[in-house]
Amino acid sequence: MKIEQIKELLEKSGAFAWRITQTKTKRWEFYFIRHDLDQNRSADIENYQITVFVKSDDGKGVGSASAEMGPDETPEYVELTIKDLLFQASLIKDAYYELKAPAALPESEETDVDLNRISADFMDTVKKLPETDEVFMNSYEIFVSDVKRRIVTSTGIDVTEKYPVSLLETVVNARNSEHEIEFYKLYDSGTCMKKDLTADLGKTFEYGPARLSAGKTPSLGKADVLFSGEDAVRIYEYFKDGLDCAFIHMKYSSFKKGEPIAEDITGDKVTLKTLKFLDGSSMNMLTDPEGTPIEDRTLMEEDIPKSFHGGTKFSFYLGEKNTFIPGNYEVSGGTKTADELKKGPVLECVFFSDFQVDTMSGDLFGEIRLAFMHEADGSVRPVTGGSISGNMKEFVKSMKMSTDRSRYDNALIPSYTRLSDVTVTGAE
Amino acid sequence: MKAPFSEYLEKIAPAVKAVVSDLSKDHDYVSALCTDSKGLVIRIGSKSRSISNKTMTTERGVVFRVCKNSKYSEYAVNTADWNEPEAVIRQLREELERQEALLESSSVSIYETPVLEDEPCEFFGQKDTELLPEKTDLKELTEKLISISDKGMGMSSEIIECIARAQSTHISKMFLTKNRDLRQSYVYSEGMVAAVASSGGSVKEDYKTVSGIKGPELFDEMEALLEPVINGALELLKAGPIEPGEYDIITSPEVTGLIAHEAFGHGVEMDMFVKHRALGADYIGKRVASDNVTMHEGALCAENVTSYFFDDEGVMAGDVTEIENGILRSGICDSLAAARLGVKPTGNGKRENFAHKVYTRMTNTMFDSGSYSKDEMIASVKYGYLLEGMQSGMEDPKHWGIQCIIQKGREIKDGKLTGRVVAPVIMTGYVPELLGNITMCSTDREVFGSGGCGKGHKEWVKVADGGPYLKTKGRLG
Repeated sequence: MKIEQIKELLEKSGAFAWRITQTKTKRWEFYFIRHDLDQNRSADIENYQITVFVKSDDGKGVGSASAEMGPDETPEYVELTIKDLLFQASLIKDAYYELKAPAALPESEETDVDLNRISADFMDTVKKLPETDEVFMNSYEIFVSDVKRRIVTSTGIDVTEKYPVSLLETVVNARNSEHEIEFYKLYDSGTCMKKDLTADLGKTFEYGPARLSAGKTPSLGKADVLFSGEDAVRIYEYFKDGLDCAFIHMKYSSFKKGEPIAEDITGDKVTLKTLKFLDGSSMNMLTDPEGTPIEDRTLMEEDIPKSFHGGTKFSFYLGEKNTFIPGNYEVSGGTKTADELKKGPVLECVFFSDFQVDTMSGDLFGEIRLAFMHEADGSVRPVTGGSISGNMKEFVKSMKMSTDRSRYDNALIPSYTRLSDVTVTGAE
Repeated sequence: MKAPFSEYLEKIAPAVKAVVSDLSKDHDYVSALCTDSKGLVIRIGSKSRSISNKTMTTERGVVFRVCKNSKYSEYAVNTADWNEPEAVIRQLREELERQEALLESSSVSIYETPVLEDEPCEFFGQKDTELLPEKTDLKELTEKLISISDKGMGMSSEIIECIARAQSTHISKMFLTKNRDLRQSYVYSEGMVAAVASSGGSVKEDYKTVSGIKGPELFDEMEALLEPVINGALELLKAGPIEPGEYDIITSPEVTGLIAHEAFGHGVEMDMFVKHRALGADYIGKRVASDNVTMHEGALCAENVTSYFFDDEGVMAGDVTEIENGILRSGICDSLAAARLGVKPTGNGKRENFAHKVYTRMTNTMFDSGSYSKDEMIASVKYGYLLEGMQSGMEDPKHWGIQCIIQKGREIKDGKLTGRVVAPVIMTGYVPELLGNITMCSTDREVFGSGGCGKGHKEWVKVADGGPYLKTKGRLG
């Protein structure tokens, strides 16, 4: 079944609107135990997602239904599926909205994704890490995909993009005569970012001996906590989600344009911008999943929302025009150096079991795998165990950020973020 | 009725067998897992509604596994023309040769693995279901879900959203080798009611679920979830923070399941033993919990969303006693890990879908019941908390650390619930300590199968877990 045939069937169906997303993925995977190959895999996958929109009889509502199918379905099956989708969409009704019309896109050259070269780059990068008997790679998994996506809609959008998506999973172990520990990390990217990976994994290697000698995290009650890496990305997702038209419409977020996101802000203020392109990101696409062009745009400036982002439906409800679902974003606004932010007393958490921020409630929590306790006298000691918790709605008032920034896949954020009055439950 | 087996898989079976047969000429082992699973998801909220045929486990495709010179490789495809099996063979060989060339040029050494057994077996299994997701009366079901959502919205002005979600998947899988032809079909379903409450700038969500190896008839059970969910969300708005510390705790069956899953689910996945990533390997035959603890894992030890006949490597489902009266007896194992460790696989080799690798994964992970009532257990606590509802968990099998994010804690004082609620609660600790302090287990037990489980932070599969109420000590924050 070809996309043109599906398009033809949809055009004849009588649907109020429709969208087809065709995704072709060629993926190579390599799995290693230490540096021995556990197994290699190759995948050749193609899928179509068809969404049909139906207007209610009174014209005040729109229902939608979608189906995913592989490339080997017959025209008869597709025709039947579209008929089913029309019926299903008629059963549910959201408030009226319309799909977007096509917008001008910049010319782009089709990216050549070389699975062989990118895979080789990952293997080479990991092999060159400074392993010792004490700190070493336990295992790693390499995933490299060549993705081609085409989006076609009833409103005339027809955009095709080709891009690389990679993932490296690493497990770094450290051991001494008494015990052995591990650090688990996932790196999402477009291609292999050799320099970034070497630097970040190098840092993890340095943390190994610290984790082996770490004492128990003290019960600090309320304390300042310093975040970096992927964990800090979770913190900035609170701001990004709060600016989402869906969150605003559902009243999950109380952010308002032109008004500060909190009262009595004494700390650094967040400026958040979407980016079309971010070097190394796995989300460097011209359009979002609905085929809308992505732009460089300031969403929030110094804690004051300027514009919202989001998909077609909720943007329509809020009357927001020219919105899109962002891929990449950057955060700025920090005023401190890393050394200033590490000035004690502060607990610098560098590894959690699974740090989470609930972007709706603002609650954050995580069990500490490795942290450094920076005391007021300048002394530093590694600690482990216990947990942190608190709520972003309070933390935004006094948070501090570094001026220098780091990229984690699609997010360019301050390298260090310091939150005050975080509850620290010790392990002692 | 019996869940029907996929006509599509019946149709492609001869071509897939032809590929397996051809590849077997120059490979030591060849298998094919073929999948064709259909689904249905209806999500009804007050402001957004959707219907789709895609659930977490809907898929259609084939993955071939080959072994040559102690090296295992796989090729997953859904673009094949099964009228031309020779084209599939050619494609597979070319792809794996390209990868082989890269591995050689990169001087990669191989983790040598014995050839998997291929004992002759023919099997055809179908589980009972009243309805099929692809043939459900969608009008009636949609109206039922709209009614639940509307009722929820009307129960309090502080409720800003009430979502009713129903999803059902009809699984068909076929596993073929030179000597094995296994086929299975079954239906599992999940229902969820969630409510979001808001007051004074605070936004909180609560949810409850039902699940089972049943068809869409399961959704009749969803209405009963509504009142506790609405009350739960409103309760969270008033909940205060917990004073961090170690407490006597009683875990509800849902939290018990989370502990089972994180503590001695992930902790005894034996592909982790191969990589020396799990402490459990050194503790087989040793005490890891109190005498009161017995734990089982396996597709056969409960009937829920992952109770299949055979796993994704063609190994028949099992029921493994992991912990017996506090002593660690066994882990769970996929086929390759078993071959590497020299043990028998336990039927726990699972893929996210046909396009993903097999890992050792959980199915039903369950604590056995005990001899106390929940009331007796609460009465035995001087000061502590009854923990209810789970959000997420994470384990550290190398160090036996555990993190459980729990929806709420109900204060217990002098053997009675005081009515005070704290939320959210993060429970952390050392697994042998947490399990070693279990002094009471309730007579009843429940299974929960609405969640997904990742290996690390990826490779999501369906799992179920549960058990009775447990009394232990926990570090809460």
